[in-house]
Amino acid sequence: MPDVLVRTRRKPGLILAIAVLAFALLAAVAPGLFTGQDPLAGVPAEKMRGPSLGHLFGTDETGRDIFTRVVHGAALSLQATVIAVVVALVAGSALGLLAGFRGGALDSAIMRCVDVLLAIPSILLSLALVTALGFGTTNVAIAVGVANLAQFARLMRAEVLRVRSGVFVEAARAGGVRWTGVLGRHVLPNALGPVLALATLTFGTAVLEVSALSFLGYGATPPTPEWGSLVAGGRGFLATAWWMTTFPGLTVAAVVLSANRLSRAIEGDVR
Amino acid sequence: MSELLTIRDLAVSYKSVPAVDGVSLSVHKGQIVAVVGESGSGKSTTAHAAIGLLPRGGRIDRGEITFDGRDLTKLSDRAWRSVRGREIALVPQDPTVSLNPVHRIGDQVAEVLLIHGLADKRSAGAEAVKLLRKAGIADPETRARQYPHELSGGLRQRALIAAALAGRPKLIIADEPTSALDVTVQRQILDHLEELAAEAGTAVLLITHDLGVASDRASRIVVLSQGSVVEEGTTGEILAAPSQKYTQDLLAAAPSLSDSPLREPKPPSSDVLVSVRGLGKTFGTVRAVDDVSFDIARGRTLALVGESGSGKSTTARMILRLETPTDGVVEFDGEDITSLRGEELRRLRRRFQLVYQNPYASLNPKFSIEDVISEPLRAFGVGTKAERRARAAELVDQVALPSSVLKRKPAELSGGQRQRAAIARALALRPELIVADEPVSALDVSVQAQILRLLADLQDELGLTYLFISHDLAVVRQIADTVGVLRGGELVELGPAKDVLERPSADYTRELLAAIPGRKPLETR
Repeated sequence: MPDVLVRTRRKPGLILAIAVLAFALLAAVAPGLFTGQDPLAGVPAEKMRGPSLGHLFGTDETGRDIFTRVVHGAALSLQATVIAVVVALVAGSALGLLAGFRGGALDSAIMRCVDVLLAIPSILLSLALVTALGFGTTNVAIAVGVANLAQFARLMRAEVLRVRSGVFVEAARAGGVRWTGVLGRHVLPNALGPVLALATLTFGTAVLEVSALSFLGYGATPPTPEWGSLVAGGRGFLATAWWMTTFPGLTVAAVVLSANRLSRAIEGDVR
Repeated sequence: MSELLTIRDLAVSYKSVPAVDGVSLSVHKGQIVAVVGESGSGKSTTAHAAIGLLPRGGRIDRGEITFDGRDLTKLSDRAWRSVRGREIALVPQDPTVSLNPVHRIGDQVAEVLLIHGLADKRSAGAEAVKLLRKAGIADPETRARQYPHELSGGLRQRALIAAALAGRPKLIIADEPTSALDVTVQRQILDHLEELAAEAGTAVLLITHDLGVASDRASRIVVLSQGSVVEEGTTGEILAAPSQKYTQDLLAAAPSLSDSPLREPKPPSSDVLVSVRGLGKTFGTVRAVDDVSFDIARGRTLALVGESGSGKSTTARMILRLETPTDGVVEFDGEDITSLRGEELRRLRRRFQLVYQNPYASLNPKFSIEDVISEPLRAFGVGTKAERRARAAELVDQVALPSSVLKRKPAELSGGQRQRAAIARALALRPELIVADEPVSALDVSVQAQILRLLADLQDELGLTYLFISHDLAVVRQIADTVGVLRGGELVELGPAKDVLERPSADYTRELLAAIPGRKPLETR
């Protein structure tokens, strides 16, 4: 592990990315660390103020501090993102594992469904799903997760096919290991690396998609802050109060870019 | 004779890890010099340095390579291009990856002629066909129009030789030119290479791990170990009176038909453990195994010998029921196991185990050696966790590995150590039958001898029955009680080891025996 640290130290971009993500995660868990203000209570006297020392990101039309709302919004937005990634990772990997390991008609059936999922743009698919499931942060998360599971299924299937043909897998079978043991102890651990790297990459995409759905109004009901809905809330005041959309938007962009940078680093380590 | 290639005090390192350290050798015009060594001895690195093709990260630290009066280490990339192919040519090791799969064979040979301006676009095709014929390819006109995947390994290697000959080089560097090929094909190719060299006065630097090949073909032998020259001399000197311990060990380890077996073959027994009757397997339209019948007596070793595609592995896999026979019957200890399935078959796996050819691929890379060895015990729920751990330690000891390997991952072990771990895994459930599919062919000769000795000792100690699959008759002779020879899926000969190897009745067996390298000096010198 020290080796990893040494290599990381030479990459300022990676350090910045890790710092941004750490900040976002910490904000999600303990928003009180960064701001003492109430995200829901506005001070009418201070509405529509530009960025200043007292209000880093400015205030909105009811005088609520936007920085506070972004910090408190991290909890819901990241929670939704994590649920989405977990849904995609677990369901997608399970389907891919089953398809790759069992093969035959089951493989064909699963992979054709996956092809259909891949054929539909994921944002459109998640829109359709969230409309069917109903509004709310958790439903948005599930919709985004389902829309992203196809890639996981494909990658996992390919990895399983590669590992399954390995001699050590046959050796386990010849040694009398049950198929569940072969799958769980031999195939899965050796197939998992690239899939986990994809999960970190999907984390970035999921932040964006969750925010997009929340921007369109499918997420939490106002005035609960969410990154997407914050961007949407400032839309009407773009000409007079640019900070209301810009800072939440930049926050989303920073988190997405950081997640991508980190996933690239992990991918490099896995290979 | 004048010196053509002289290497003096060559040192090469990869990322500052020395691979070759102080190698000197010389090749005269028209001479065949063999560089012999085990894996990691630096023989290939020396060869690649001599043709200026060190892999990325490789660097010549000191020394000089003089070819025809020029110091090759000081050549520019541009100057190298007129040397490579034209004056020094390389016949690479692996014919399957050394040809471009999307170009026709003829075009790939013609390319060398075009690059060096030895032919123009119109005549190159015809010249290439001539070269292919010279390299011993029958019907070269047809072959020239084919793609690499349409050719067998032997034909591909010949095409590579044709490409090497195209520039009419003064020196051919042949890096393990035949180690991927069957013995009978190996002999034809080496015969041919030798003839061509003699005809054109071309010198050959033959890189090989096989002392038998070296002694058959070369007039001088250079023995390398760990990056330096251990011994150098004429073939006669080296074989008759090696002065260094390393060479003596290497010679002693090299299996040859002249050696006595590890122990006398055991007398036949009527206590049959495995009985195979009329076994056959069809893959698509290919008949891989056809009507094979034999018995393996308890506590004895049956070796199945054959070249690639002879069906020997398929036969073994059918006995282990990793492959289902198309027809025929396999009986294990009197029970018909041909149609066993599911849990019944799994239960039976306690009684027969498999050791694979490639110890690099047959161990789960994520497992520690302890996990690898105790995995079969775990699968059958034998003992508690602590008992399994104790058994793994005992097994590691039995295969003569230090107990420190238990916590290590397979990647941290050498090839020989890994194969020992694989044997320990096979022994874990105290099986009656062990099928060993080419268990030593991926290993260096000195390690081969150790593993064979281990297998023989374990058999005596534990009363094991072996089915031993090999392409190498010399290895088989060391360990087998009974030998079966397979060709094209059919059993052409079956009998006691002594009879089959000394008085073969089938022509094919005689052909196989004659092709084993390392016999010539014993007969002619």
